[in-house]
Amino acid sequence: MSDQDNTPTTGSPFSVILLYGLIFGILSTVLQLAMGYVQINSEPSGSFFGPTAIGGVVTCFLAAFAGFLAVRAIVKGVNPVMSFGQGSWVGVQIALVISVVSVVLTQVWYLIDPAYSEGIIESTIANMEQMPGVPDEAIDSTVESLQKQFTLAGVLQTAAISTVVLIVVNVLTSLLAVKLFAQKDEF
Amino acid sequence: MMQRASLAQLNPKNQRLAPVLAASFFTLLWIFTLGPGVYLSEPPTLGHWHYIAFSAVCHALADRTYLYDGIQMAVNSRCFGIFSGLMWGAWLHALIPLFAVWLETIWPKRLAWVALGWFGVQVIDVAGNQIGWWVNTLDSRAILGFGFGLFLVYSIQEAFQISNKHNIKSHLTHV
Repeated sequence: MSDQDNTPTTGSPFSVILLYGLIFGILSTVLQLAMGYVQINSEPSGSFFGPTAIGGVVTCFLAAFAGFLAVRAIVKGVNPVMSFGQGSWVGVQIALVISVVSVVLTQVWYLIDPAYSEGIIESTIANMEQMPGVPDEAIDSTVESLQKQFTLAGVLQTAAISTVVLIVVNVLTSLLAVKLFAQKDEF
Repeated sequence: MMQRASLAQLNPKNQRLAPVLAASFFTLLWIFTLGPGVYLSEPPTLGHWHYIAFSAVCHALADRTYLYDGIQMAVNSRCFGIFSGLMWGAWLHALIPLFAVWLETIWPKRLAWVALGWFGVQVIDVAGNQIGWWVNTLDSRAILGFGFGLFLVYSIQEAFQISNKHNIKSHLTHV
């Protein structure tokens, strides 16, 4: 019998993953939606670095380090022994949970407030019109791609593609947490 | 069958292959970060899959992103630095494995703390720039990002090699 078998455990790793996935999925989605409203209700600045972009920066950090924090929580609260393989799997699962939560929440919100997507598109057009040297074709193509992204197919397509990179990044941060906090499975 | 698999894992060729495969993967990822400019002559729309792929982890704002062949890359300069650091760190480990082992021996876990500290530097840099204490540039962001990627991949290099201890353990178990 190894040390791992003698280690007292509380709860399951998946419940921690689910909890952290929900927290980070909700946080990042709410932040993005809130920044969207700030953009809709603010004067066009003519800069790419608007409120949604600031929200985007924070969301980047949140989404990337969800795996790190989940592994830390599992190691501290459930089982102190974790291999790199197990850590990677935590990263994969948490990225999937975040993606699903994000898709569901945004779709629900588009139903609650159908004017949100129109508001974002209109404020983006207004903002791009303030930018010097932006041709009309560029504005048209941006509007077209935004309109596609706000449909269910667009949201699912975006989620499917972006989840791949989200998984890679969360696996890396999860591995970092394994290295820092987990005990090695020695024999 | 299980015994044979364990013996195969103990093969020194496999020990060298895993880091090379990891480095190849990070190289492929790095090529993706270069964006659609690698194969397109005209700028695509923002809905192009290349931009969408990294959208969950990188804002890729136009004025904070390098151009490749006149077309905006898929990630901003900081993230480009991070992905470059991951690639170079992975190749450094794959080609000079003894260096990684030596670092791990003299500095166990310290590289991981350096990686985490370097991430803190990113946060400070973003905050300082936003507050107006300093103005960062594309290059300064890329250099800071490079350090984080390099230390991150180097600190977890054990994950990209087949552990001798683990193999010997599983071999003994199956035998």
